[in-house]
Parts: sequence; structure tokens; C-alpha cells
Amino acid sequence: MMAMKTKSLLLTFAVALSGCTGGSDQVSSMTTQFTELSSIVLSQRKQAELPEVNRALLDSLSLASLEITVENRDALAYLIPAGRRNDPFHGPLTIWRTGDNAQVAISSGVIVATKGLGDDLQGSDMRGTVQAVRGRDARNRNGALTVVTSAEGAKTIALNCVSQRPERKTIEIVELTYQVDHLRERCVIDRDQTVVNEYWVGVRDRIVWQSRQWVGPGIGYVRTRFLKKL
Amino acid sequence: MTSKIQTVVLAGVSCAAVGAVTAVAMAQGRTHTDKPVVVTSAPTLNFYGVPGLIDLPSGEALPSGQLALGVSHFGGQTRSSVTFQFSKRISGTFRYIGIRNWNSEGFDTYRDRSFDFRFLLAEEGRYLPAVTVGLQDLAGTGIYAAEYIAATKNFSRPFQLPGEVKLTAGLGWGRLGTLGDIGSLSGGTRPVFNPTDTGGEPATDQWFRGPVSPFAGIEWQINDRFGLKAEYSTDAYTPETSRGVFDRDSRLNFGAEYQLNQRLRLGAYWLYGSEFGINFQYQLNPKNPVTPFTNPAPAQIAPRPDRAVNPAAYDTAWSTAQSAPIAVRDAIAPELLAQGIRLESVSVSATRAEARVSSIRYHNLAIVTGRTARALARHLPASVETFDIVLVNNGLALSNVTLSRSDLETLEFRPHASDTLLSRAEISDATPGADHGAAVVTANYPRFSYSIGPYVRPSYFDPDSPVRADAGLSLAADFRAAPGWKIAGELRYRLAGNIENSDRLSNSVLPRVRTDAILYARESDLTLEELYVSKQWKPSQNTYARLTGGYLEQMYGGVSAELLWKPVNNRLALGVEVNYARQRDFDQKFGFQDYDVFTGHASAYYDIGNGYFGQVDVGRYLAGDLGATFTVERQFSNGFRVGGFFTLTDVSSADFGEGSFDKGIMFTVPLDWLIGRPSTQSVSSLIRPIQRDGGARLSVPDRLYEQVRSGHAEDLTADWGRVWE
Repeated sequence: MMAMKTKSLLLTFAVALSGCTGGSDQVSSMTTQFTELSSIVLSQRKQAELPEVNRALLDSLSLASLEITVENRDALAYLIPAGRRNDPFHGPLTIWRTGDNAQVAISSGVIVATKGLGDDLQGSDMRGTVQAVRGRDARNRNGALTVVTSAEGAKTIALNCVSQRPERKTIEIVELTYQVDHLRERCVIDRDQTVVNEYWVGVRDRIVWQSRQWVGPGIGYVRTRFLKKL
Repeated sequence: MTSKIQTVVLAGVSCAAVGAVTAVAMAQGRTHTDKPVVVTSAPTLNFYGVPGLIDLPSGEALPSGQLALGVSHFGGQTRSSVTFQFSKRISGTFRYIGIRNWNSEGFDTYRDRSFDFRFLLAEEGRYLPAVTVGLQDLAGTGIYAAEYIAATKNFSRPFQLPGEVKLTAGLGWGRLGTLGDIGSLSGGTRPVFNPTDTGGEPATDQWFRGPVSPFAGIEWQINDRFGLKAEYSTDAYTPETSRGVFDRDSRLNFGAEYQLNQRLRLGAYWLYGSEFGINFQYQLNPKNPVTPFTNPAPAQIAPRPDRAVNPAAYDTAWSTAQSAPIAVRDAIAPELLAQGIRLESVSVSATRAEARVSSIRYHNLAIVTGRTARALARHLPASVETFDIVLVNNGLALSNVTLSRSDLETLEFRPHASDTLLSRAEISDATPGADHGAAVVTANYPRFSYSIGPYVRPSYFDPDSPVRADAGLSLAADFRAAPGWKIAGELRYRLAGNIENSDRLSNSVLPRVRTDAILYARESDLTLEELYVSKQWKPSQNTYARLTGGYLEQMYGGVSAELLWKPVNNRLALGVEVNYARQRDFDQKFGFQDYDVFTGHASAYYDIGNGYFGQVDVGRYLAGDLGATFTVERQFSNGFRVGGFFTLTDVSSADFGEGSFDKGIMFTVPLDWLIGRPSTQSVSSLIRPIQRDGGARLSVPDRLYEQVRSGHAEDLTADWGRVWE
């Protein structure tokens, strides 16, 4: 009898792990909680593989492509444009998205917002940096990042940035080389904390082919590589 | 490390490349060979689970909101404690202990519960230490009763040593004044500990009475992980040593601790010259979820064309068509449903639209508001400038959030976007029903939901077995025939458990309204946990009503009626609930016992601000006793809640029995705090030191205040930053 009960118990938990809930609402029950918890555990075990990116593959795409890496999460993603808008504040904006609909809003190669990454950059004032990238000028400027964290809600961080003189370099991105100006800006975000943003801007086309940008305390540094333009 | 973002290059991929590229990102092979630095900014815990050294308290407080769990063992004594730093200065601790080899007063192992209270008198300054006054075991039998004033000062790299050193010194009364005393400051005498006392009442006659002893200790945090402790204890451990629990040979204690990760710290110690001890410390802060909340990005807002450039786009002729709201409804209902938001109805005019929505997926209604606004902005003609988003919960229109479409179009991606949007939004009382002419989503009703899976019913603090539980299979379902109507039930089949094995049957002199739990556990494996029908509605703009009838909970069936007054922007809410309840048969099928009672309460709820809430319920309880329940609670913006309550009624301490009066602490953990994904589910736990029959309330499903508060200004704006997510 006891053995039968034990088997039944195991069966019960197996049922829960397979997610035995249904209908158009979530019934508020312990089962629903178990099911949601188990689903997250199971989904974390599933790891899909990255495609092998090479120039031939990129050439076959009919859309532009951007690679981003969130450094402190070891997370890499390839994005495609999801929309463009002429924003009255930021100017021309491109919204890039991943397959599971995380988004990054970029103005002239400068990240101005993220969505769906967790602890996101809700909005920003990076107009000074955008100007610097466009014109390669090296003036001092102020900026602001509004981030949303679970601990503090929406919080705005002031940036006080100083650009360094750009250096001419050559970089390679998936089998193609670009001659770029390497821009570095050092930004004080607190009295004793400094972050450094870097942009590799094409000499001829003024495209930010590669960058490393700090987008808030939660996400930290994001590296971008512009894999393909149209 | 697992990647948090998954990726795909989808659209525009040539057919040949689809196979290769329709794939998804994962973490790349970067590896970290160095262990990350562990931040141990929170004070460490002592053997009582409060900030301190080894067996002594310190003068520091935990960070506000911190939740600390401690399990320690030495000399046959195990202490399990949970401490909550309710505010910057106030903390409370609940502790359950077991002392083996007690062998007196009829106990082989002596088990007891105790509460502590600590108040931070002064924060640490450049030259001055942090100072805390504490009451230990302030209302129990007094086994651990002590009072203290402790001061702690931190020193960074003293004498060129690495790390941080903190020095603690203090004065102790009670237990902490039983060795090396310097006399009695108050001059009073102190009652002797009585293991057979029912306890429970604040022992004001002993606080800061009797001999007082100075104590001291040092903690050296060598680096981010290793720490050493040493202390001079003034606790004679008289009750324990006199009963041979352990031998006490020294006043000095030593220990070493290791911070395993941000939350977990382990320690090993040599105590009182004779005993080896261990301490497990686990600290978390509800402000920092286990998994950061991640939500797929919402649909983009499409800005309208400039009116000067394209005036035709702003033509309002469309609004005169009778089919206009229907077209809008048909466009946005599926889009919202795919995002876990149920559109109840929509009404439109040339310049204004109202959407009534309820949440299926999000407990954060700011997200629901933002996504509904996006859907409206994506589908409504350009002439509609104002959106009224009415948040609805099971037939109750909770609040009306009015947003300007222009703000949505212009503020996104700007700094301070959520604060600016909130400053321009209006949160007002919602009318009970939709406008005439609104397009109602008729497909919402009737609907049915179910879950089949495991359940666990725990039972705590039986002296013979402190943790007992039953587990089995649960079938829960609900049926919603129309707005506000709900028929719900749950069947349980117990597969295993040991609650029925307890032989501690009720000895209550009151009607046994709660203390027959063991009989309920023994009678049947198949039980009807609940089966009821309820109807809730809004009689007016800021009143809410509910009627519920059926098998309301495990032990009672009956009928319940509730009325709540709660204006959307008012911190105060008032409610009244009247119930007729009849005790169910122990087999928890359809029958009833003879006991029945009219019970009910008048309630006042007050939002104190900054996430603190207070509640007073005055009325008649299940045993027929009259009294009041006082509740305070802290709710974090992410929905994590910690609170405590006590109930005083006209039942005497003697008639109430062990514990003297009803009290407890409760936790609510939103599931999205744990899993980092949207969810409306939460896990709640109510811990009572002891369940007796006095001050016992009927458990009624879906009481109104919690439902209503979630959609009112304070809760809605607490995590408003996510409105753009």
C-alpha cells in the first residue's frame, strides 16, 4: 500500500512538472505555482546553439544585422531591425530586436534604450555622445541614463563625460576590415565611479561599426558589432 | 552562465540560410576563472539569528527590508530564527528552539518559541558607533529573556591589517547579566524563568531589571569571504548547565566564518570552553529578486503623422460609425490577449477611448496600463488623443488611468520617461460599468480553468515533531459565468503525510474552532477543500461588495457578505464583513457538525506610505469571542510582503492556553520575484507560533481589500517605472 502511495506521489509530481494547468485563467493553487517554477527550471536547461556566423551567411541575409554581447551575463545575440522612427528627442532611431523580442534602440550607433533584457535602460539623454560620434568632436558633455531596477524602480543616473582624442585604427568584423576612428569617452557617474564608452567609427561612412557602451548598473557593458548594413 | 537573451535572425533570411540561421543564441564560451568578489556589507548574524558576534548581539542593524534566516547548533541546542528588518531602525525576530537532554518538567527535549525586538538608537558615524537596544525573548516563557544595549564601531584596515574590524561592547540584563555583573541599575528584581509558563504576554515586569553585565567582542573580516570572531560572554547558561545540558567552562567564545555567496554564510565555533558549534546564516533582501525581472519588449508605439502635414489623418468622421468600437475591439483584443491582458470592453469617441482590461499574466498593473496604451495607440485613428484605461479585476473596476497619446509618442526612450508620464497621468475612480455603446468582448464569458497537481499542507511546532506535513494530489478549478461571478472548488487526495500521527489533541476550554486540525487530518484522504460561489460588484464609484456562499475553507462552510469603501487616491479604506459559519465534518465532505456562529468584523485599512500598511479588524471571532486584530505590513514595490499581526479578545490568557493570545507573521513572495518572468501567482505563508481557538477568524476566499488595493494609486505607482515594459 505504501509503495503504491509512493508511486502515486511521484506520478503526482511528474504531472505537475509537465504543467497540468489549463483554461483561460490561472487557477490560484499550489499546483499552478509548482508548474510555473518547474517550467522556468526546465526552460533554463534548454540551450539553443548559436549559428556559425560568416560573411557568406551574412551576405545571404536581406536585412541588416547587429551583434550584441552583454558582458556581465556572457550573453550574445544577433539582432535585426524592427523599426525606425524619427524621434523628436533623439533624432533618427533604429529599434533592433532579438528572436525572443528583446530590443535595443540605437541612435547613430549609440544605445539609447533597451527592453526585455532585465534591469533595462528605459531611456536616456545621449545626444552629446551622438553628436560626438557623428562629428568626431571631443567636447565635454553631460548625459543621463534612466534605468529600471527591481531594487530601486526607475532611477536616473547623471553622466559627466570627457572625450579623448580619437585614434585611427583598422578593425575586422567577420572577414571584413574597416578603417575607423577609435573614440573613447570617460564618464563620471558617481563621485568615485567612472565608466568608459568606446566607439569605432568608420572613417568614410561615419557608421559605428563596433562599440562598447555602459548602459546601467544592471546590464553593465554591452558590446556591439555591426555585422551587416543594407 | 546561462544567457538571458535569446536571439534569432529571422526575417529576411534567404531560404537557403534559414536552416543555418534560425537559431538561437546561447552563452558563448567565455569563462571566468576568478571567483567573483562577494559583497558582505550586511552585518553578520549571531547564534540567535540577529546581528551580532557569536552568542552576543551587536549594535548594528541589518539593511532596511533585509530578511535573515539563521540556524545554529551547539551544546545540544538548536535555534532556528527569522529576522526581518522592518524599517531602518526596527527589526523583529521569531525563533524556534530545541534543547536536548533537558530531562525535567516532563520534557526530554525542551522546545520553545520566542520573539525579539531591536531598535537602532544611533547609526554609526565617523567617530561614534552604531547603538542598538534589544529585547530578547520579550514575550515567551523567558528561557532566552535578555535585554541589552550594544554599540559597534567599524574600523577599516586598522594597524595596516587587511580587511575590516568591528568592535562591539554592551550592557546586558537577564541572561546577559548572569555573569560578571556590576550591580543592578534599576534596582528591581527579576522573575525566575518558568519552563511550564504559558508565555505569550510581554514580560514588562522583567525588562531591564536585575543584574547588568558588560560584554564585548571583536569581529575581523579578513577579506570578502573569511571572517574571525571572538567574544566575552556574560551568559551563565544556568537553566541549561543546571540540568546537565552542557558544561560551561569558559566565558570566551571563538569562531571562523566563510561567506559562500552573496546570501549564504557558514560558521564554525568553539563555545564556552567545551562545545563545538555551527551557524548557518542566510540573508536576502526582497528589493533584490532571485532572478531579475525580464519581460519581452512590447509592441512599438507608432507616432501619428504631423497634423499640419497630414490633416486628413485627423478626420473624425470614423467615430460616427456604429461599428467603430467593434472594429477597435476586434483589432486590439487579440493583440492584448497574446500579451496576457484581457480586454473587457472598449468605447471610443472622436478624441477619447476607454479600454477596460484585466490582467492574466502580470501582477504589476503599470505594465498592463502601458501595454494597453500601446495597443490603443497602434490601432486608433489619429484624432483620438486621450486614453482611459480602466483596470478591472474579476468584475471590479479598480481605477481609471488617463494618459495622453502625445505623451506616449514623445516620452518613450527619454530620461525620466516614467516619472514624467506619471506626473501627466491622472488616476481616478472608475465607473462601475462600461459606457453605453461600448463594445464588450463577449468571448470572455463563460470561461473555465483548472489545475491538477501536487499540494503540500505543512504543520509547524508540534513539540514531538516540529515540522509535519501532508502531501497529495489536488484538483482545483474555477468557472466564471459572467463578470464578477465565480464558482471555484478544490478536491484533495492525500497520498502521504504525518499530521494525523500527532497525539496532541485539543485541550482547549473554548469551542474547538481551530484546534481539531489533527482530527481533520485523520478522518479522510479524499477531501473537499473548498467549493463556493461568489459574486462581487461595485455598488458605486468607490464602494465594492462581495457575497460568497458554500464550503469556504477546510473547516467551515457558510455565507459571507462584505462591503468596502476605498476611493482610489485615498490612503484610508473602511470595510465590514458579516459571516454565518458552520463547522464542517472532520471528513471534509459535504456534512456539517453542530457548531455554528455568526462572525464578522469592521475593518480599517490605512496606507501609511513608503510601502507600510496598517489594518485593524474589530469584531466577533469563530469561538464567539469579541476583540480586535492589529496588523502591520511592509510591501516592497515588486510585491514581496512581510507582516505581522496579533489579536486581543475577551478570552483570558488562561482560557486561551499556551501563547496567551493569537499572533503570527506572514510572508508573500510573488512568483515573478523568484522566476524573473511575469506571473500573477504568489506564494504566501502564515506562521503562527501556536494555533489556539481564541481570536480565530474565518478564512474567506477573495476578500476585497487585497483585490482592490492592487489597482489603486499606491500599488499602481509603486513600480510605475515598468509602465514602458
